[in-house]
Amino acid sequence: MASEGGDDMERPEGEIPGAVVRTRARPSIVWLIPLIAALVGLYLAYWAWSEQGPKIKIEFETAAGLVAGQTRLKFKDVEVGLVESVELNDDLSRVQVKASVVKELARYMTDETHFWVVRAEVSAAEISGVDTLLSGAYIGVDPSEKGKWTREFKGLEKAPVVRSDKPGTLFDLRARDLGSVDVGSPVYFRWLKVGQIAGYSLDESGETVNVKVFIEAPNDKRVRTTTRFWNASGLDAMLTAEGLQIDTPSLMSMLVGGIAFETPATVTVAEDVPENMVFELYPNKQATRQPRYSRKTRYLLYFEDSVSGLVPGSPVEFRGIKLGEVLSVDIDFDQKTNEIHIPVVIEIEPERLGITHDDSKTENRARIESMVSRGFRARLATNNVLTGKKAVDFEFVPDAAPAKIEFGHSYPILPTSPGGIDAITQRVARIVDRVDKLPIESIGNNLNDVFANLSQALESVDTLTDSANADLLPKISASLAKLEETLSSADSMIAPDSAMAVELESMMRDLAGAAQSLKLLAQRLEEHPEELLRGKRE
Amino acid sequence: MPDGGAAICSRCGCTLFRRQRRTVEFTLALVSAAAILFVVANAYPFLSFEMQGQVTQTTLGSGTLALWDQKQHAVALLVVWTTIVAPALQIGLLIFVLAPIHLRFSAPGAVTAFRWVEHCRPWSMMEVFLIGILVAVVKLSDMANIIPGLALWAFGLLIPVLAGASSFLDSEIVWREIGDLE
Amino acid sequence: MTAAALGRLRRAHAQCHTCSLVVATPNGPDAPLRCPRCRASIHRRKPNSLARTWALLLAAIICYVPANLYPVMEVTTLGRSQADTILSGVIYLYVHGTWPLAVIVFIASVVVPILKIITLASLALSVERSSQWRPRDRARLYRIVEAVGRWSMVDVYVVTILVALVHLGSLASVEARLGAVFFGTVVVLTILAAESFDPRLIWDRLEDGSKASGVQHEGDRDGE
Repeated sequence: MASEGGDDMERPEGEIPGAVVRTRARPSIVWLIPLIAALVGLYLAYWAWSEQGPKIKIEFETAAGLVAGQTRLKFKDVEVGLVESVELNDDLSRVQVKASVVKELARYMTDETHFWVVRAEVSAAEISGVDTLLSGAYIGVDPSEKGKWTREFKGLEKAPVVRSDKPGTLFDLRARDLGSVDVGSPVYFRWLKVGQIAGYSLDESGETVNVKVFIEAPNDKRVRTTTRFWNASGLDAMLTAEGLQIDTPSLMSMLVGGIAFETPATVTVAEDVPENMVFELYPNKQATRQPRYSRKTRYLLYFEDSVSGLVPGSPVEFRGIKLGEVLSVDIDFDQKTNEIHIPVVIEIEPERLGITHDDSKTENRARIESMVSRGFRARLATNNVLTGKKAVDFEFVPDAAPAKIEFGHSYPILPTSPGGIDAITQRVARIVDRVDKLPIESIGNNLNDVFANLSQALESVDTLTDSANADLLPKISASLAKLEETLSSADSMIAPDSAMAVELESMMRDLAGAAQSLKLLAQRLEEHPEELLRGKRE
Repeated sequence: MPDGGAAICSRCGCTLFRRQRRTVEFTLALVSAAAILFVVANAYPFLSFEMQGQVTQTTLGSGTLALWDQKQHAVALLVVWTTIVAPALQIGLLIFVLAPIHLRFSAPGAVTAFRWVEHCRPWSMMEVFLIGILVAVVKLSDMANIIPGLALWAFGLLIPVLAGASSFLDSEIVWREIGDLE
Repeated sequence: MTAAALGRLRRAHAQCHTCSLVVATPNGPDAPLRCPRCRASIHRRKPNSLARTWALLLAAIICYVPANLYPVMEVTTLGRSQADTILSGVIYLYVHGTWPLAVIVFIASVVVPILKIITLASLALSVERSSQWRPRDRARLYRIVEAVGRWSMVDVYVVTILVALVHLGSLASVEARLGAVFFGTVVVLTILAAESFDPRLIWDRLEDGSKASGVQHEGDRDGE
C-alpha cells in the first residue's frame, strides 16, 4: 500500500487519470427507492389536494379574538374549519376573514348558513362561552343545506336564536312598548322556559313594537289562535276583588325580563296558528283576562263641570264595565262667543256595547242614535275617592234633556249631562241663588213661599244623602277592606319563610361556596402556575 | 485499482479514496429519493401539539418563523441554514451535478456547484435536529398530547437516505467526471 | 525511493483540498495557484491556520460563559414565566424521571463544546510547541472533534421546537432568550475553528523534528 501512495505522488500535473470505463448496464435496483418515494409523494399530494375544502370569506364587525392560522370554525363543538387570514376590507369598515372549511361541509355553504364569533359572554341573561377565555374565540357555524351556494358571507355578531339544529317556530307579537325585554330574554309557558325573544323592531308607523319570539319544538304546538302573550317582567301586582295578588315570576325573569304565554279556555275554539298571525303582547297578565276588541272609535265630549281629576288614560265606563279611555282633555276658547269649552276626546271599543264589527256603519250609527234618544249620556264621576281621580261614566239618564249626536266635527260629539256630585254642587248653587234673590221686604209677605222653598230644599238634601249613601259609603268601605288585605299579603311576602326569601338564601349559599373554591384554586395556581401545564406534582 | 479497493494515506491512515460500483448512479438515486422526502418533510406538518383543546400544528419551517417573530433573527437564521437551506442546497446541487454525469452530458457550473456541496456538508445538521425534536417531545409529552405527523416519518427516512447518499458519494470520481466532461 | 527524494517530491506537489487533485507546484510551495480542475485556490497548508484557530477558539470561550449564564428560553404560563438555562434544563429532565435524555442533553450541550474547545486548544498548542506526542492519535482526535462538533446544536433545536409548538397564547408560550444566541454562536465558532485548523500541521512539525522518534511510520518503511 505504501508503494501505491508513492505512485500517486509521482504523477505530474495535468495528466488526467485514466478514464474509468463503465459499461452501461441496466439501471440498478436502487432506483426503486426514489421511485417509491416519488409515488408516495404524489399520492400524498393528491390526497392533500382532494381533502381540501372550500375557501370562504366572512365579514365581521370586529376581529377581536380571531387569530389567523389559529381560530377554528366549529359546529356542535366539532372542528370544521380554520381561519387563514384576518384583514380589513377596502374601506376599513369591516373585517374580512378568509377561512377554509372541511370538504364535508362544502354543500352547506349557502346563503342561509350563518357564522358568528363565540366569545365569552357574561350578561344578566346568560353566561356562556367562558371556555373561550382559555382556548381562544372560535367561529360558530349554523349550516343549512337550503339556499343558494355562495362563498361570501356576512357574519353575525351574536349567535342566531333560531338555529337549524334546534327546531321550533317563530311567532310575531305586537306591543305598545318593549318594556324590559331584550333579544335572548326567555319565553315561559307555565314558568318553564320554552323559547327566547329572537328580535324586535319598531313598526313603521312608530306606534307599536314588533317582537319576534322563537319557541322550541315541541312546545311551539301549544301556541294556538287564542293564546295570549304577556310581558312577564317585574312584579305583577294586581288589586282585584280578592285583594292584592302578587304574581312572582322567577328571579331570572324579574331581573332580565321575559314573556309568558298561556292558552286560556275561551268560548272560541282554539285552532292552529295561521302563517302571518300577529299576537298582541299585553303589558301584564291581568290585561290578558280582559277581552280585547280590535276596533276603537273616538268621540268628543263637552263637559260643563270641572274636569279636575280627569286625565288622559282615565277610564270610560258604562255601569261599571270599561268601554275605553280618555285620550285628551283640552281647553278650547271660542273667540266668537267668548266662551270657554272643555273638549274631551275619548276612545271606546264599540263592541263592548254590543255593536259588533259585522254590522255596517249606518246600522251602528242608528243604534247609537237610538241610545242617545233614550237618554244615553256621558257624565263625570269620581272613580277613586282616595285619589280623587275622575272617570267618564255613560248612563241612561232619566229625564235627560233631549240631545242628538253631532256629526261633522273631527269626532262625533256625544251629549253629556252633569255628573252626580257636580249636580249636587249646581243645585246647591241654585238654592243659594234663590235664597239670595229673596226680597227681604217681601219675606214677611211671602213667608209661605219661603217655607215652601225650604221644604223643597230639604227634599233635595234628602236625595243627596241617599245618593251619597248609595255611591260613596260602599266605595269607602270597600277600599278600607282592600287596604287590610294589602297589608296582610305584603306581610306574608316579606316573611322570612316565604318562597322568595328561601330562594335568595340558597342562592347566597351557592355563591359563597363557589367563591371559596375559586379562592383556593387561585391560591394554588399562584404558588404553582406551572401545574397548569405540567399537572400536579406532589 | 481494483473495484472495491481503497487507497489509504501512507502516513496518517486517512482514506484517500475508495472505488465502488456505480457510485454516481447509486448516489443519484438516493439523492433523488432524498429530494422527494425533503419536500414531503417540509410541506406537511410534522408534529401536532394538543393541550386543553387547543391544537397547534407545526412544519419544519414553523420553528424558524416563530423564532424570527420573536426577534431572534440570529438564531432563526442559524436554524434555517442548518436544517433547511444547507440540506436543500446539498441535495439540489448534488442532483444538478450528478444527473449530467450519469446522463453523460456536460452541465455548466458543475464545478461551482460541487464545490458548494462540499461547503454545505459540515452545516447540514438534520440528524441533530431529529434528536432535538425527540428531546422536546419528551419534555412536552407529560403535559400535552403530541401527535406525530406525516412529515416526521419522512424526516426520519430522509436522514438515513441522505447519509447513505453521502457515503456512496465518491468525490474523487465526481471530480474526475466533471473534469472529463468539461 | 530515498526519504530525501520523497521529501523533494512532496515539496514539488500540492493537493487541492477541494477536489483532491494532486498538482505540481513549479513556483515553489507557497506561490498562489489555482487548481486546474475545480479552480479553488491551492495552499499547501491552510493559510494562517494557527492564528485563525486561536482567534476563533478565543471567541468561542468568551461566548461560552454567557451561553451558560443567560437563560436559553423562557416559558410563560398564565402570566408567570420561568426562564431556563441549559443546565437548569438538564436538571429538569433529570428530576422528572427521563434521565437518559438528561444525560444526552448534558453530553451534547455541556460536555461536547467544552471538550471540543479543550481539544482544539491542545491540538493547536501541541503544534505550536512542536510536540511529538502520538501524532496519529492527535490526527484521529481532530477527525473526531470535527465530526462530533455539530451535536452541541441539540439544545438550540430543542428550543426551536418548543417555541414552534407551544403557541397557545395566554395559556402557554415559549420564547427563545439570549442564551440561545450565545450558544449558537459558540457552536458556529467551534465549527469554524475546527475547519480552519489544518491537521497536516501536526505532521509538519514532526518532520521538522527528529526523525528517529522511534515510532514506526509507514511512509518511512523503506527509508534510510
